[in-house]
Amino acid sequence: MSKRQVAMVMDLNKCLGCQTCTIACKTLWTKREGMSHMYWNTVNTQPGTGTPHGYESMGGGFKDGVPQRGHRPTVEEFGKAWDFNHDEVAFGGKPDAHLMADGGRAGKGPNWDEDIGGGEYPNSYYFYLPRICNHCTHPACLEACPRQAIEKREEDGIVLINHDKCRGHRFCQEACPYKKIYYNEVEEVSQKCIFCFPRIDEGVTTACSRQCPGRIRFVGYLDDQNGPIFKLVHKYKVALPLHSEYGTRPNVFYVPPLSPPKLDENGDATGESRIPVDYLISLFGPRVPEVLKKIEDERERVRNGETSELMDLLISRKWQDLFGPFTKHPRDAGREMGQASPVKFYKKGERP
Amino acid sequence: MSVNLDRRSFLKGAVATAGGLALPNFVVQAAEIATGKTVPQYSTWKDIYRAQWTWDKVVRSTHHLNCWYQAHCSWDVYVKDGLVYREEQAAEYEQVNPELPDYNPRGCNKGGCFSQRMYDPTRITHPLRRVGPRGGGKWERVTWKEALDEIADTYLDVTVDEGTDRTIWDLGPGIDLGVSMAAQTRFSLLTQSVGLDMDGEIGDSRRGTLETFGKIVFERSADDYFNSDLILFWGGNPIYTQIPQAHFYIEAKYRGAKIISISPDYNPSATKADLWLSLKPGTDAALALGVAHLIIRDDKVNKAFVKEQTDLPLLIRSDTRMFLKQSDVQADGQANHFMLWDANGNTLAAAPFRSLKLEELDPELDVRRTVRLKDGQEIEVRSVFSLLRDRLAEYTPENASQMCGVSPKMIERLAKEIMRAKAVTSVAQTSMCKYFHGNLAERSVALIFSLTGNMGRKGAGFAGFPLLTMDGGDKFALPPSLQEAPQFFAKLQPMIDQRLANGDTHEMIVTDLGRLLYIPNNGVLRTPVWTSGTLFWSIHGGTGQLTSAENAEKWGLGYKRPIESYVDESLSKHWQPLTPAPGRDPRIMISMVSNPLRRARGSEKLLEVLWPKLKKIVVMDWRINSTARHADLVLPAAPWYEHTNLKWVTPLSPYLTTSDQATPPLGESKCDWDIIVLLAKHIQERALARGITGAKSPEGLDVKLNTLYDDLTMQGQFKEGDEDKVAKVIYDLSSSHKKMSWEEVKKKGFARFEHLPEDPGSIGNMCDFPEHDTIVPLQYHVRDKVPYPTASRRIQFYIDHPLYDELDELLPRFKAPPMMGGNYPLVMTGGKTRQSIHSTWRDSPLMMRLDRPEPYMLISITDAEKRGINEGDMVRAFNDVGSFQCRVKVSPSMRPGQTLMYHAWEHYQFSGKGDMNSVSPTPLNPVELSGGHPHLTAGILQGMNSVFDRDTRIEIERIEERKQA
Repeated sequence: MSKRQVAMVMDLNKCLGCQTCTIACKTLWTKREGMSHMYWNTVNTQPGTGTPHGYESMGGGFKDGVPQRGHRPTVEEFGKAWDFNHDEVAFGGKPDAHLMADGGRAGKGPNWDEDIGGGEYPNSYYFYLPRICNHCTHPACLEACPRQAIEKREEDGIVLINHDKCRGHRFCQEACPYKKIYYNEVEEVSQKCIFCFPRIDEGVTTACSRQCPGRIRFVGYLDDQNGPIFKLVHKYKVALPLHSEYGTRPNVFYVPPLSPPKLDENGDATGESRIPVDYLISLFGPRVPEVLKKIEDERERVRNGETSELMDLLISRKWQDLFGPFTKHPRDAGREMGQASPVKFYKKGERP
Repeated sequence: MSVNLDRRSFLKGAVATAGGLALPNFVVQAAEIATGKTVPQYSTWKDIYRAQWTWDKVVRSTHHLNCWYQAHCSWDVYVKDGLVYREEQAAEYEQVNPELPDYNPRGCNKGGCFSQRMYDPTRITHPLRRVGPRGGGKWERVTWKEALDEIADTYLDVTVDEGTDRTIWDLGPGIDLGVSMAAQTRFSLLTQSVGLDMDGEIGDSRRGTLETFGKIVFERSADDYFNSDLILFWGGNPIYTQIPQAHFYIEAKYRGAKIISISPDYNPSATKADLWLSLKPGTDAALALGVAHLIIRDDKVNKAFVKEQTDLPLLIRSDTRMFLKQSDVQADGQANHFMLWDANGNTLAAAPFRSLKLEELDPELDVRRTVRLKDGQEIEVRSVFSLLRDRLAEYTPENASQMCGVSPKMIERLAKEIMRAKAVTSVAQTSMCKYFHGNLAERSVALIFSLTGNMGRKGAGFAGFPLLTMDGGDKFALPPSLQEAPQFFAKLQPMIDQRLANGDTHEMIVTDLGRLLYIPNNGVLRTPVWTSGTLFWSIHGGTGQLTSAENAEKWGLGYKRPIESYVDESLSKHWQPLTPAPGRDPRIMISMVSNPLRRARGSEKLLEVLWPKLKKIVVMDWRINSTARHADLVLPAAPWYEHTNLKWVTPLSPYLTTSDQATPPLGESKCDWDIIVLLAKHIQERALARGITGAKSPEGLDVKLNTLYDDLTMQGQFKEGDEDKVAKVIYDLSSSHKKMSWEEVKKKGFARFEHLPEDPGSIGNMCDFPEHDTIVPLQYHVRDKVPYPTASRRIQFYIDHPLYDELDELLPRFKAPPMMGGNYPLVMTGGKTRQSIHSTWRDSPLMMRLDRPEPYMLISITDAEKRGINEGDMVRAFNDVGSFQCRVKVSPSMRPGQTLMYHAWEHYQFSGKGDMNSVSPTPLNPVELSGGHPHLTAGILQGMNSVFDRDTRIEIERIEERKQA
């Protein structure tokens, strides 16, 4: 256990499925060679296969404290980053050429089943589930690594793969039950969400949380009693871990989604919410009904003119309140080239 | 994968390349030349990531394109090694007041990766000229001089030989109403070349809103939705299409508001609702009238509101079916004064004129009486309310349910929720008006809001079209020079004074000034020429040929006579604008950051009919899009991060947003301002060289060609390279912003609107712009009693125009959706996509990888099973007018009988012939050809024909996989 734990709460009622988080992460961290298929942050429509496709049946994690065998996801299961023939289409002198992914042989991408979900018209249902590495308190990946290349930072519990120690054995990929670890075939190391440690180290919240237009992500220390994370997870108990049965004690929590009522055979609204509660329980555990009721009750109270700290928290009228101590503006935090950086940069020809 | 290199060297190398994705060579070379390569030192793996978190400078910018509702987010652009490296939202919007959620961070997935898009393989960096036939895909690089001289010579030939009206500006969604537009405005002003008004042509006409309110532009600030008790997601899908401000809707839920979603499919916005009503596509009017029926049945009409603000108490003559005017009953009566029955005096009375205030009048709502006209004739008159009540009698919940497919109980439930709520809003949308009878739907929904008095209050109101623009653009662009601007505009003052004295409002006058653009040589003011984009494509472009008389009959369009007859009547009576006139073929088209071949419904016709007429097709863009593929010349316009600019926004986010140039234009790219100014320069040079002095417009205005550059640049005051100077002048001339200087705004990146701009594109909002509160449109009408810019000066439900009489649309009603394209079982609905703004990101690899790589159509499980179609299959979609191929995505959320294709796939993304526009004949709706009326007249972005694709009927069939390449 680390001394403190930084954590995230994602309010699924606010998630728009817009993938801005995915793109924020992509353009900041995973554009080096060998990373084109990597999405350390994913958003998937639920129910659905998720990323990698079918990850919930790929094993890993712990059962009664015992590590479970797991499948190592392939690039295809994650969804290969298709290549396109833009050049041929725009400049190739072929009037009939059309744009194709991987020469017309594209497999399924990481967000293939967007907005499909489950049920049957008119009682179909779906919601969006964003996922990052859970920076678990009991990380299966860390235990699985034969080279002790995976560390959990003492000061904030961020789980990192040391690229210098990693030799690409990929046991971590098998062990992680959430399948949030990718493998870089060019650099030959395993890579995953770093909880934006260069930002966090300077008091700037993660790119996925700061860039989220839906304002769904709360970031802070789990033990900060005045912070939103503590209040949502421990005080009001409305934020729940995903698949806690995997036994790794994740540090990302979710406010489960409400949904409009089901319709009966006449097309009239029933009293039953359209996302089956059992399905939500299978993801977020037995407390789901209690949490959904709590949110509806508080909404009703506010509707009747009362105040609710929980509703105020979920609204967060001041956006910065989402981010606990990590409210510094990135522009002010980043080190300009050559200044105060542990990385020394040389101009062309200056290199020793 | 085995890699022969030492793994560590890759990690080290990773530090050095911690910049971009695989960039095209020209980009990398540009960076190296610009900065000299920097090589960081490797000490630990963490340095790789820390190096990715460094930059050289940060510049405030934004994306100057038509994101419309979601427009204008302030971004920090991070520059490294001379290239844009990434972007992140500035997120420094001040909280408006502590009771409201703030606007941070805004932004979306597209904006978050423009740094990648601007360097992707379709970017062009030097002028290109077609080699071989149009559309052959072969290009040669030419110099700017070669390209501009070629355009200039063709332009001079065409203008001198055939007329000034033969050059067309295709002003697509890329226009900014800022610096780029200023250049085009001056060019068109001086040369009388023609700009296409694209609002109706992109399907955003909001016709029913114009009919009802006399304008389309009015919308609240997005944070005002937080003040609502009931938000109707009706016709819109804001969770999907308003990403930057969608949080306000959900936050309103946590404040106790309810959301009701009304849409055929269970769309992403429906997932956030408290109640979802699934209706048959195109039947919104029936549902709305069903609700209106119940409001009257339950006696929940807000009588004070409708008596003061609407035409419901006004009287209609039973003989002519037109409004009873004061001039009908009094010898000295006014023809623009409308009559009502005053219960206080038990007498006929003229409705208030200069103000909506009723003073001592108490208009009777339900009137059916006989009145004596001034000639002694006695006629029956009925109030609009009386007629409407009879009309609504047809829309019992049971009848409405038959029409729209929502159960009677659910219609009752919707009505009850509306009647119970203190503040009801709908969301901004341009979906209803893409249905053939969408005007009737909008009028019917507006009726609900009017009957219940949910207008012009905090958190309450029917949403119009969201537009807000600075008013400095025209002040800069219209006068011959800035020095002469005062005299130039002073010419208008006597007319303005006279109209104000006659009781007209500022809004009416400003709106009418906007209408001058559609009348070449209007006799009031020299203006640029704008014309109806839809009529242009239909008549000059040939898309009108898709709707033959036989088709019109078969598809149930309800024409009472051949469409040609309606068009001829409209054009001959000057009801609708079309320049050049029919028979005068267009010769040059300059497509300005636009993409009509992708956009125009039935666009294959353009290639067949319009293209052969055109001697020169010029595309200004930063990438090769569908239209550029078929152009003669492609001019590399610089994308937004390489600009200094300002642009129109929307009241939803009431902040002017600016961009400061982050990096210089790549290669030989130039900003739009420079391209147009240089084109003028080359035209002047070639005119001088060829001894050409000028030409006369068909309407008799002088066009000087040998001084075009001098005149456009105000004798060199604003020339190429002066983008920033122009932006500053536009900012300084605008009445909406006074608190900050241009330099300060540029640094900050955004500035809240302080006042209502006196611009035809903005004034319709008619409200205050308080610094510390939300923006509530129509406040000046509802709170201050300023008349509306309609014929009756009220919210008007009775449309007094002969075409409306002929087509039985005098009152709101439901008309069954036509079978556009033929009697086929599936309705092809559509909408804006989450992954792109129009086509700008549609073929971006990053966006496609998070979606699907090919055009696809969503279909229901039932329809898939019926046809033996499986998820992911390739299908052929077809109807009477065309066909195309795409994949299917089978979804339980689709309503059986409905298909949905999110828009903006480029032509070249479809395999085989045809694209999604090929099945869209987009017939003209005759009521939209009206004119010669106080408010049904063409003006800025309103009152012209629109396109309709939402009730397109198709069938689909599975096809064999195409042979793999």
